Parts: sequence; structure tokens; C-alpha cells
Amino acid sequence: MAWDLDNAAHLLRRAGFGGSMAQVQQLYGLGQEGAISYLLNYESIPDPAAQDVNALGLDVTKRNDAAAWMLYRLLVSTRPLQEKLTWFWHGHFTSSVNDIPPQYMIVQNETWRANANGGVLPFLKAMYKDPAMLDYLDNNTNVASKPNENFARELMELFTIGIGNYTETDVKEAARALTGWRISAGPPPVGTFVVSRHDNGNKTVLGVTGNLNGDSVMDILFAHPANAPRICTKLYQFFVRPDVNAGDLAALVATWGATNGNIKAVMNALLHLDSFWAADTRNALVKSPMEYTLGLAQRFQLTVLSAANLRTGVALLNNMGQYPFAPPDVAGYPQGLEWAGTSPMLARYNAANTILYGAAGAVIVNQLTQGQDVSTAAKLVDVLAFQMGPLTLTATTRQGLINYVNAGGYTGTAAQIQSKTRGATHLLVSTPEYQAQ
Amino acid sequence: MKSFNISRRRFLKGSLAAGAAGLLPNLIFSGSADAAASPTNVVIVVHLDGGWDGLNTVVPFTDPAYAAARPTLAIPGGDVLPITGALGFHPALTGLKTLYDQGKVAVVNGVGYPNFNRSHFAAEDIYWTADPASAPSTGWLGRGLDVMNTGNVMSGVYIGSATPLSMLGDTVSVPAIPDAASYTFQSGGNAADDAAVLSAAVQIIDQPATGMAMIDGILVQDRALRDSIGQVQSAAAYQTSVTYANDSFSRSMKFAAQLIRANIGVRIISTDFGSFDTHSGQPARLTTLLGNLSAGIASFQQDALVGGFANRVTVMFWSEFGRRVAENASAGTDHGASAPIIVVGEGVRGGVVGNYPSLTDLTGGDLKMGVDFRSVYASVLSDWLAVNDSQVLGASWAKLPIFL
Repeated sequence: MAWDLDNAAHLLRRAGFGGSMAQVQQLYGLGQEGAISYLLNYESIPDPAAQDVNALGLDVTKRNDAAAWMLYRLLVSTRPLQEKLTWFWHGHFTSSVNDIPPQYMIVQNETWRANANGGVLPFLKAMYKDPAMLDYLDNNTNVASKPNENFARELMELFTIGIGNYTETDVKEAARALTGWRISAGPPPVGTFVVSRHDNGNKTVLGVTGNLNGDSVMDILFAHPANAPRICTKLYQFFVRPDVNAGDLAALVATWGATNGNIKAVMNALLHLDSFWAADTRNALVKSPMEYTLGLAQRFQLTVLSAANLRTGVALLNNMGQYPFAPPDVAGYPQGLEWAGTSPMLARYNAANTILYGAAGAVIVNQLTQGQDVSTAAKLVDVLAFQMGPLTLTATTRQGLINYVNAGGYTGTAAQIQSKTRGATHLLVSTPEYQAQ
Repeated sequence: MKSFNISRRRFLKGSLAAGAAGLLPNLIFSGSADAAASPTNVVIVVHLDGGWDGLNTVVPFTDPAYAAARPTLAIPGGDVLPITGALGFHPALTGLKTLYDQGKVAVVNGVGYPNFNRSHFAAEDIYWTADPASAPSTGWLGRGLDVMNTGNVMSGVYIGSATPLSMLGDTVSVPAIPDAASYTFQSGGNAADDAAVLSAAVQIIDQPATGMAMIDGILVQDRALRDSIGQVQSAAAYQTSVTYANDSFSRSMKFAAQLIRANIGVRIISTDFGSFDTHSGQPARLTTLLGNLSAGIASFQQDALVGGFANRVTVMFWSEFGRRVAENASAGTDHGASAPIIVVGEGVRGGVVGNYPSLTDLTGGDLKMGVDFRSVYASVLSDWLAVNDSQVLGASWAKLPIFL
């Protein structure tokens, strides 16, 4: 494979949210290995967003502001892969702001971020003590006298080994082992263990018997042979494509085994798979609303943001069916064509319209066209397809866009560039080609 | 698609009006209903999301095992709304009780299937596909629409954001519409420019398949969008005289009534409401949820009478499972097994269908099933929608006396 700008853009769409064209150029300049390494080893890159977010005046005890807080971190971060992984783990270790105090979600978001690239086992041990998780799946009311098995079931079904690999008895026994945790509201809220609420009897989970506690349940599930393939498959389906082949899965699971479940090592292997770079992988996923929205904002360089701007972004995402911090259920967010209902797609097209014809419209037009030859309709369309991708359009789509620009006569005057760049960009990001990635 | 040209014109008109007015849809009241669509029976399928507590909804209030299993959650016999000598509705279901007394409500007891799955997602898939064994990529309602083969994009509508598996067919594409107000294509330029935008959009979404699955899948949705926008806007222009509450269920039912009244060929509507996943704090949550359900169905029935379509609409409530007989320590209940399905409408044979499951002869602490859910589906398909049920369900299931 020849390393080119298309490949750099593909890498940044998958291992990030698309970034600006300047960031794509920067990755391209690093070469393929350099670009992968830069994205993976993000710990040494300063991330001012972590502090800057505090200056926005957001009240994270309110759900819209908590969502705006996360939107800012995802959008402005200097560490694309850290934020993409943080977003992935939100869809995996789900909790929802619909059921718990918004500020708990901020704490949980930092737990995803802190563990995003590390070991899966310490991540599991952090997640079950997380106050948002304790609250969301009722483990804070799981006591020795009367176990509540909600968390134990979802832990096995969704967070680790998957359905078919455990029995109802395993769920009940694991629930007993997970008794005793409560939430100290703080701030900051923390999970605390109360011995008197814990079931100290013997339990048997997946064939292991003893006075098991939460950590021992995580040890058992982490080491279960179904766990690594399941998490690796989920990572592959999120970062690469929906159909995972046996050879690629085996490679990821082998890396997991060799590194005791280190996520950075698995991601390194994933970003080196031939199938990650294959031509037909480029359109194998549908952008989620978050990917769509952040992709637009990053490419339009809308990174100087007020609290009000961010709240607008949250409202637009809600219209598209993806309220940040509120996955539809404990299985996380949809994928692929599940996003492509008529109404959520319409909400995307209308969101792009809102942005392009809003206060930032003129700045966006200048940023997309400045210094470019846009003297004819075809040239304008090709410039925009490059700036928003590079995006490969079908001949029909390209011609439709050219027809739009030419309608009413186009000679490349400043006024025409302003109006036609907005309309053509609105159409371009409403095409099927742009929804795929 | 039969209504292609008309729909495209409506799409353009609707969108232009939206652009010119800065927003919205009242200007689009141009279209009459699709001439080919005739008033035929309609079903609204409501998924009570999360697994509802059938036991505290249709309460066996005279059974001592009930109070014994639910020391804090049992609803006292004096509080229930009795429908038989042994069964009563949850006290919040006052509107449903009135409809029951009018003979418009069938309560099907103990609905389920062999070997219950207590995962929300696996259980939903079973109810959605009606085929636990082979787990197809289509749902029972989508296949019903396939068999109807009306060629009308409005024959099935999902009221919500993302069409569930139940509504996916092999040939139909069901629009997902959370509400009418947002269901219009906005374009922010001047009128001439917006017309050019829409013309280009139509050219782009009419292009042939690309061979790339995701792109082609989105093209299908875009065309369904184009074909549905105008019809939805004209349907939603009708303002009923009936008062609805403002919770999500009542809003959905109000919108459903507008769609049916518009005579645009709607046959199947589905929506969902919840969450009924009451692991904790159940009493207050269930009271609110069932209160909303009861008020929503009562307003809808009244609206259907006022609108003259009551005799051709049926509403069916189902959930992916019931809840465990014994309560938990969090004033809640965990995932269970069988649960009632409730069917409401003028065409319904009011009463109770099937025996109430025993509260002492349990499987793993859960109520056993008495009626297979596919028998309910078969009855709705065959006896209400006049669709060949075995073609949809892949087998013949015994029909139940749910409809007149």
C-alpha cells in the first residue's frame, strides 16, 4: 500500500473523529508507522482541553451541560485516539444520564479516559466500583440479604464473555459476590465497600468456588476464554468493519494473550491489519451522529466554542438520535445502518444546514475555499470533496453537485462563492458517500 | 414505488415551504390522500420497553401466594380495579378499566414461549423476529408489510428515532418518525437556491445502486424519506378536538391518530414506551408509567371515535418479558418470564383470554407460559389485518378469540 493523503485521512477518521485537513497533512508527513505511533502513544502529548473545559462555565450537575462537557473533550482534544477509545468504552461499559446524576457521568467518563489504552483487567476492576455504574445497574442496592442481579447479568452478557457462556446460576452467584458496594455522593462521588452488606458465604461462578468478591469475579471473567475474542471483535467492528475474519480475530486475541489484555497493544495490532487498510473497508461503516457532528466541527475548525455553542451541538446530536451520555439501552449505541432511519438521517442534513447557514458560515466558506481555484462549478465541487474527505463521489453525485452550483449561473464571484459553497457543502455532507466511512 | 412522482413533488413543496418560512409545515397542506389507499384495518403495536411487571398490572388479588411473594410491592385487593372476580388492573389504569368495561379490551394471560431468555436484547429479538431458532434479519411486522405489498412507503410507520427489527422487511423500508415537526428538509439559502439544492438532492438520491452496502442502504432510506415527508406533514396538520397528555406515549398516540385519520394507507404503526425495567423503586415508577399508558389509550380511543376510524384500529401492548414473582430488596423486581399482552379496540372481543399462570408452580421463580406469543401474532395478522399469518410466521399457530 502506498502511503498517501487518503490513507492518512482514513486513519484519522477511524482512530479519531476526522480532524482538520491540517491534522491529516501532519499525519501524512509522519509516514504510516509514524502516524500510527503518534496516535497510539498519546500519553506524552499535552491535552489542554482537560483544563480548558473548566473555564466554559458549564454546570455538570445538569444533563445538557454534562453532555456539552464531553462534547468539548472529544472535539478539542489533541489526542484523537484517546477520545475515540473513550467514546468506544462509553458504548461498551454503558451507563445513561437518563437514570443517574449527570455529574456521575463525568467521573465515569474520566475513568474510561484513564483506562482507555491500558489493561482490560484493571479497567474492569475500576468499572464495577464506578458510582455511575453502581447506580445505573443497581449494584448499589445489591446486598447480602437480597441480591440484585442486574449488574451481574449485564456484566456477563455485555461487558465481558457474552450470552451462551454462563448459566442463570452463574448470574445469581456473581450477584452475591458483587454485594456490598454503595455510593458516597461526594463530590466527587465514589464507590465504597461496606463489609456488613457483603455476602461472605461461598459462591461458585463459572466453576470457581470460594468466598468470592467483586475483584475475584472480574479475575474470573477477564480470564474466561470467551472474553478476549468478544472484546476484540467489538473493537474490530467499531474501528474496522462489521465482518471480522477468523485470521484477524486470532491475531488480535494472540496480542491480547501476549500482553495480558493490553488495549494499546491490541489497537496497535488492529491498526496494522491488512483489512484495516483494504479499499472496501473505507465505506464499511456508517458514521454515528457523534462521528458525523465532530467530523464536521473538526473539518470546519469550529474549536473555539462557548457553552452555548456546545449546548447547540448537544441538541443537534439529540435530533440525530444520539444524546451524548444516553445510550438507548445497556447494550450501547447502534452501529452501521441502524443509524440510517429516515428521521435520524434527516436530522443530520438539517444539522449541517444549521451550521452552514449559522453565524460561523462565512468563516467556514473562507476556510474551505481560501487559496483554492474555485473558478468553475466543477472546480468548486472537487475542492469541497477534497476538503471534506478526501471524498470519492459517484459520477451521479458529482454531477448533481455541479448542476446545483451552475444553477443560476456560476462565474466564481465572491458572492457566488459564499452562497454556493454553503449550499454545495450542505449537499455534499448530505450525500450517502459522506455518511459512510 | 407507486406514489413516486406525487411523493417527489410533495418532498419538494414541503422542503421549499420550510426553507422560505424559516421553518415548518403548515404551508404544505396541499396533498390529498393517496388515491389508491383505501381505509382498511390498522394495528398499533406498542412495545413496553424493559420488561413490564404483568403481576402488578393484571393483579391476581385474591391469590394468597401473590401477597406472600410481594410483601412490600403487592397491591391490596381493595385498591385494584377488578375486571373479574380474581383479577384486577393496577389502580393507575382507570382509563383502560373504563374501556374494559365497554368490552373493548382483551387481556391475554401468560404469554411467552418455551425456554425464556432473560436478556432484554435476546428476548426482544425473539419477540421482534417471532423466530427464536433461526434469528432472521427481518421482523414479524416487516414481513407482514412485505406480504401486504402495498407499494406505499407509509404502509408501515415507526414512531421513534430508529426503526426496530420488528419493522424490518425484505422489501419494505419503514420510515422512523419521532414527531412531525422535525420531519422536513431544511435549506437555508434564498428560494431559487433552495430549489436548486432540492433538485440536486433528488438527482443524487435517485442514482443507481453503487454496490457498496452502507451507501446503498442509506440511499434506500433517503428515498423513503423523500416519499414520506409530504404525507407526514399534511397528516399532522390536523388538530384534533381531543385532549391528550404531554408525555411521550400520549404524544406518540396523538401522532398515530393523525396518520391514520389522513387515510394515506397506513396499516401498521409501532412505537415503544418505557422503561418498564423496574429493578428498583418500582411502585412510583409503575404508577407513572401505567397512568401514562391508561390516559394515552383513553385519549386515543376517543380521538378515533371523533375521527371516525375507531372501527378499523386496534392497539396491542406487549413487553419482552414479565418480571420475577418475588420482589427484590430494592423495592423492585428482576427479569422474569411470561406476561400479559393487552389488545384494545372496537373490533376486539372484550374479556380475558387464557388462564392466569400459577403463582406457586413456577420455573426458576418465574411465571410459566400458557399462550405462545405467536398465537397472538397470528390472530392479529389473520383476524385483524387479513394477512396470511403462516406466510409471515413460517408456521401455522392456533388463533385466539381476540377479535369479534
